[in-house]
Amino acid sequence: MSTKGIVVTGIGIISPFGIGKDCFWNGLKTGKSCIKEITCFDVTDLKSKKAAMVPDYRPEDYDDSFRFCRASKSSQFTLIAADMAIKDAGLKLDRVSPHKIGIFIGSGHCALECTEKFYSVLLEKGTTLTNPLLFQQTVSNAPASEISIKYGIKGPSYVITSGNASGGLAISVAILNLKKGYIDIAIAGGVDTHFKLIHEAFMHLRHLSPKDGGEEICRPFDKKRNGIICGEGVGLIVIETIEHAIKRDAKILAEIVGDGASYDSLKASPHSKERSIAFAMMEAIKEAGLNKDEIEYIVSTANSSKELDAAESKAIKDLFGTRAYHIPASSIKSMIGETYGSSGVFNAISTIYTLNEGTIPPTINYENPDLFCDLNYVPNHPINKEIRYALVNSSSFSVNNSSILLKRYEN
Amino acid sequence: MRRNRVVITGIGLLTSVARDINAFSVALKNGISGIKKITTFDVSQFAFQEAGIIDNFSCKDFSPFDRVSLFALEAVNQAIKDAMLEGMEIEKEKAGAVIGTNCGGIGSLENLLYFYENNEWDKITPRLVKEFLFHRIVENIKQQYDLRGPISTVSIACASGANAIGYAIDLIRYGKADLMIAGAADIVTIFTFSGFYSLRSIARDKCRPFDKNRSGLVLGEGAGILVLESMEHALKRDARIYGEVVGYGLSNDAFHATKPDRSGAGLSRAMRFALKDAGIRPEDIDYINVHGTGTPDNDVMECNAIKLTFGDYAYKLPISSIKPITGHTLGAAGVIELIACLLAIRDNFIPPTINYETPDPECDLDIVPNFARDAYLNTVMSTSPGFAGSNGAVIVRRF
Repeated sequence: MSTKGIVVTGIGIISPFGIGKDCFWNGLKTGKSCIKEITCFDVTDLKSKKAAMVPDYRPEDYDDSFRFCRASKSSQFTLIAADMAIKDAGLKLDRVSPHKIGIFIGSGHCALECTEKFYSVLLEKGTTLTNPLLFQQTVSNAPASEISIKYGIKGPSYVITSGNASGGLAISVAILNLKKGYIDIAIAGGVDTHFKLIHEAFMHLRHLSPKDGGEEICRPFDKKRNGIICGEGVGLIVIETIEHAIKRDAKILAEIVGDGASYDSLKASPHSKERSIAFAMMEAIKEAGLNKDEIEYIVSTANSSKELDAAESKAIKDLFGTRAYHIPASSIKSMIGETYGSSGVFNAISTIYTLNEGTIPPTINYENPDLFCDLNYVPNHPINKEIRYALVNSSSFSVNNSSILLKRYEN
Repeated sequence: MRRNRVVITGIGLLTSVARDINAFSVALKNGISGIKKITTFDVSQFAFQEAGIIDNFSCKDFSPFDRVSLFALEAVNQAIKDAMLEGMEIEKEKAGAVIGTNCGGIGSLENLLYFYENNEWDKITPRLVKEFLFHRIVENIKQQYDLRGPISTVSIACASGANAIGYAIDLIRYGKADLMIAGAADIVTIFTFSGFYSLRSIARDKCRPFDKNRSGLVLGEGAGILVLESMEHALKRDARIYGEVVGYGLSNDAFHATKPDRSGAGLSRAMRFALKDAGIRPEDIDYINVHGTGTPDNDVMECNAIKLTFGDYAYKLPISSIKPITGHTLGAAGVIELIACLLAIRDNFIPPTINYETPDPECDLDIVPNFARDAYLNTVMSTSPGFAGSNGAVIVRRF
């Protein structure tokens, strides 16, 4: 099944750079880091103290209604992003069938923040005195449901939860549903927030920098990389068939021409991850009916972890041969951290800008070359280059890999 | 666009009332309920203390896994045996799994949070941190059976099961996989019990769907798993076929965060999407296994949705709810109920809605009260209107 004829027409985003797409892109293209010491919860006794949090977020600045303020932070984020995406796409909801719009949300932690709050009330006040308003927020589909209620969107909704590949997978499911012809428009993307429980849990799993006791820094592909730094945010894109977009005279931001996915074999050899990442990229290229020589840029999924960065580098080498050393492959996670559910869609949004503006954001904090990571990572400074085709990679620590192929839209 | 037909070749399930499909069929036919006093956690504070719990369940092979994974693995194991896939050469890259769940590894999460609230990180093992993640269930299955095709987890409240089946059939229809393990699992813990209690959704005495005196739902736990294959793949290996999944539909109420839209418009849309997907007329449906939770709003909403979808035919169409038999198994409900549909087709009967005493004029459809009915069924629908207004419907047909 070909992915041809699917286009992106709107963007809604809250990132560690702040609210909106402009600050996101301005930050990325100037190589600015958003990673700072955490202030919204106490990190005094923790070895890992940093994250890329959304700055100065106050729900009442957007909507002071009780309904909005009592919603979970991920629901609030999703609602704000949906609003931006719908406006950006110029969607007139009264002129399209509400039954033909689908909502596809990827989230790694779903409503965990609310589940934790609910449970702490349960422990504190007793099992018969828990809070119903909090309980209704603990279902994973709360953000999708909030969007559907606010905008009267009545088509299908999916909530995919597969670690940090969730957002990329949600976009894939949206593409599948558009291709089937069930829907005309999809609002798709991912969301995750960062909070104390997750911070400590990841530290406990030894995912977080500084694993080696050194400097706490996110430096994908660098020899001294020592674990990830988390981020948070939401990214939603409006995607639709090209016919539909042209019919409603929408501004087209980019074309999605290929969509590849692969799944690691947990039982096979230690090289399983690199093989799967290469497979997902190849599938996307094949689906687009392209030659792999036409790929000019790869937005990497590397997040400063020892294994994933090396596996992705190896995958690029295995797939592209000697050309691998010339294809720019940069990781925006060096600036915004591993944003989990939203990381895949952040990569996609960044790529849309790269295609349209010809600027490739850098991999910052890159100093020490690593024998296993020796590609062109666009170190520390952005470069200008005209790009027509780019691969957007998104892999989870565990089993899921997705690769989406974007094409610059030429009228 | 060409699409592959999808058939069901294996079933596995675990419920409070039965731990394999044949026992489940007997329980459905005889209207036996698995609802009993909860012994797996402390409910002494509550007036009503029952649920469809699975007690005395142990699984030595997988002991470090969360209970929800154990349930799912047990059902997967049954389904794979049932489909006679053991020792069969299949292309692993074209075999995957999609699991739906509402609460995931909530048992592990509760343990973790308990230690966390008491600041006892030394008692929290890395395993515990991993087991509570939603996608852990499917990863445990993947690892066990070395599946290398599409792997995914969907979590969309009570429609999780229907959603997982729908996603899996699309993956097969459009050639991304030949064989999918698809299903759902959920467990009952103090978290869900206390949560539904706080929403005042739990029944005062019994789960009695469509009864005038119904007062709420009774929770249950369990897992239901189907082996789905492309028809071509199943015929080539000469597999026994339970039925064909001919269509599914999903929709959003766009109405309210907890309450269903009593008009039934949202669920009706999912039903119509499913009929359209299957390419059949409403009159082709012989029986609907409804969600029928026994809450005052849900049951009226469902009757209205059926009337909206089927018109006059609604009054001739038998519908029933097996919630009083299994309890409301949340995310797993959609799949366990689809299994009930498949057994109804196989064993030529319609499962009853038990505990029914007093008719409700607002629920005036043929709900097959209290006793099973003999029937030769061809095409059957299972509906799952979910919490927060996410609805699903799946249609299966005799093969």
